[in-house]
Amino acid sequence: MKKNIFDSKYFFIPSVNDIDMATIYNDNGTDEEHIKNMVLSEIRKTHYIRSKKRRIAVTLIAAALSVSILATGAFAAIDRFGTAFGDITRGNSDSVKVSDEKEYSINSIGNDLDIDVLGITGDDNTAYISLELRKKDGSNIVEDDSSFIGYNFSSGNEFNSPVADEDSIYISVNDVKYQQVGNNSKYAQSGYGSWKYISYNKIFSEDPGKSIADSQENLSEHKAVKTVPSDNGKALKMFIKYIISSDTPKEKTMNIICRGITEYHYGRKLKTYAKDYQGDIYNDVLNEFNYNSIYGEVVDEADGSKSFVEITNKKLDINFDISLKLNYDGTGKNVKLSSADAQKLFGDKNMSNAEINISSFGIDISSDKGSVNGIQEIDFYDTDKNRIIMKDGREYGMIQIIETGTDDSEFINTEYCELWEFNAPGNDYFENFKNADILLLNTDEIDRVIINGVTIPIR
Amino acid sequence: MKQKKSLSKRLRAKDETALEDIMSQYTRLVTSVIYNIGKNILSREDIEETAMDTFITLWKNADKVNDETLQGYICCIAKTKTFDKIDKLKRTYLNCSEEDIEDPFTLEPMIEDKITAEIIGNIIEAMPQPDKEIVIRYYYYHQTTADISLLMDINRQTVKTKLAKARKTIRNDLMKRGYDL
Repeated sequence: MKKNIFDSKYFFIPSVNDIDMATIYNDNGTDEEHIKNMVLSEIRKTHYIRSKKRRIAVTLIAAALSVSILATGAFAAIDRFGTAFGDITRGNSDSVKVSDEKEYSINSIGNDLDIDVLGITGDDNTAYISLELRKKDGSNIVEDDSSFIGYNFSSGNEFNSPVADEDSIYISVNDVKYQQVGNNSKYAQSGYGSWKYISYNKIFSEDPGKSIADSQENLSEHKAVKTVPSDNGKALKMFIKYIISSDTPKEKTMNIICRGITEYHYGRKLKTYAKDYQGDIYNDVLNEFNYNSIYGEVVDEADGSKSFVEITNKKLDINFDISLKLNYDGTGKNVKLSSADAQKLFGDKNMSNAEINISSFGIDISSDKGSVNGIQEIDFYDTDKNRIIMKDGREYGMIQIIETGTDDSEFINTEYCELWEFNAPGNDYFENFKNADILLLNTDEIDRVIINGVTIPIR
Repeated sequence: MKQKKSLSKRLRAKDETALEDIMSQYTRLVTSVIYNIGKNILSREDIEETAMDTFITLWKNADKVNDETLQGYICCIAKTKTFDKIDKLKRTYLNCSEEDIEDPFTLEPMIEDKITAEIIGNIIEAMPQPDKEIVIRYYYYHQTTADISLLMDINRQTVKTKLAKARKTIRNDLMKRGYDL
């Protein structure tokens, strides 16, 4: 029998904030309006019968409740977070055509920001995106303050000893996610497809080469974000550089979700922030307000008492989402397997013209024979047998291989890859997920891959 | 600005417009869950009737509802009502798929109290994407692996693999917490 985990009356659904409910619904031919009318008719019928008997009592109770509410000021306590954030403005829709081959479109959501695309340049492998952020009201986006404390929203770790440069500005950019737009157009538009999460936080000082987070985050250059205040603090320039590669023309969407950093809150030290918009602490609030604010638990250093506070509109309030849609021609790498390797890999003596293709989307294996049964025996969680070894020695495990045989099987239709650090110390299964630095593969950096124990050089 | 009362508060106060709002918001979800469970068994009229029962039950049990659990509670009622309906029709209703038969692991006995439900919820919450979404689609909205594969544009085998991994994760986590599974 199908397993159900919502049998309890206490059941709640873990939130998936990005889930597109339209894809949950199906066309079952029912008439919603009819259902609604019938239900209302039914409860009104019941209510009418009851109300005749209870009319006097209800009137008295209502009067008593009114007095009670007024006396306790209960209205003031209702939904205390409700109006803190103002309207969310959707705008800055833009399309920048960089070359005949590449087209980029920008959609941003910012509460009070204008986000302009200053330029996007790049080549087949690298995109440089330059953005400028300004407050709609013309006020300074950067304010002098020497007590900024940056937080890693994903890990919740505090960045100790931030550089207290008056002109510095710190941004935590988290949850950058790549998306390969799939065949389902509705889904693609809503931001789904084969996902690759790149979760990172990097805080830069004004010095382009200096990252105050470097010591805490093992980040690679291809995910660099740098911000620089300009125009006397009225603007903030953001430079994003990332490297892409693919063997076929792809369309991708990159979402950058930026949440403001703040400082000490009313003299109390912020100990915990909402991890991110998927955090499990503040979903109800964040859901309602489209994640346009950050909430956190505050610990009063004087007496250790804790409270739950809104953390916005402080020294730096630059919450925004940017969605970049990229069309580009990338480059990938195909490696012809030796017959011996192919045989070991596929367990099939007749395998011929076997190829492994490594792209930014995953690892595809194909053969003109079509039989790829051997691959299905791979235990993707066996990180001894399945690894990617980069030229600089980094190793990654958990390779998922997508078969692209010619047998028109169901395995052909998706390219998907996930991998995470194999040799990170102390990482167990969950820890790996939590701290995953999931890479968009750059084929040039790969030295070899090991699939099912078979080492395949990628050079 | 004074805030509008939450849906659950209005429902508890037997505010009819609250139920209307809930139906506007959740009828498609409810009928989808019913359809997913009773696919090929229930007629359109059966689904509509079960959906009505769901909302009427919700109305009668308004005191048990809060905003946080509203959606889950409605899904729960819809599921229960669907099985009741199918039972009533005396038809075979098991919606099995191959991986269900192979894996004897079941979560149902564990969802007996609030604490366990919350633990499982938290475990699922902590899962990375797209695993979390796959689990929710499969277990909470009763979508099939084929549907999930299509909708999320993820290989069906991958969906199955991730479900198996999720089960393993939940099992291991619960065992670490002292559950005897």
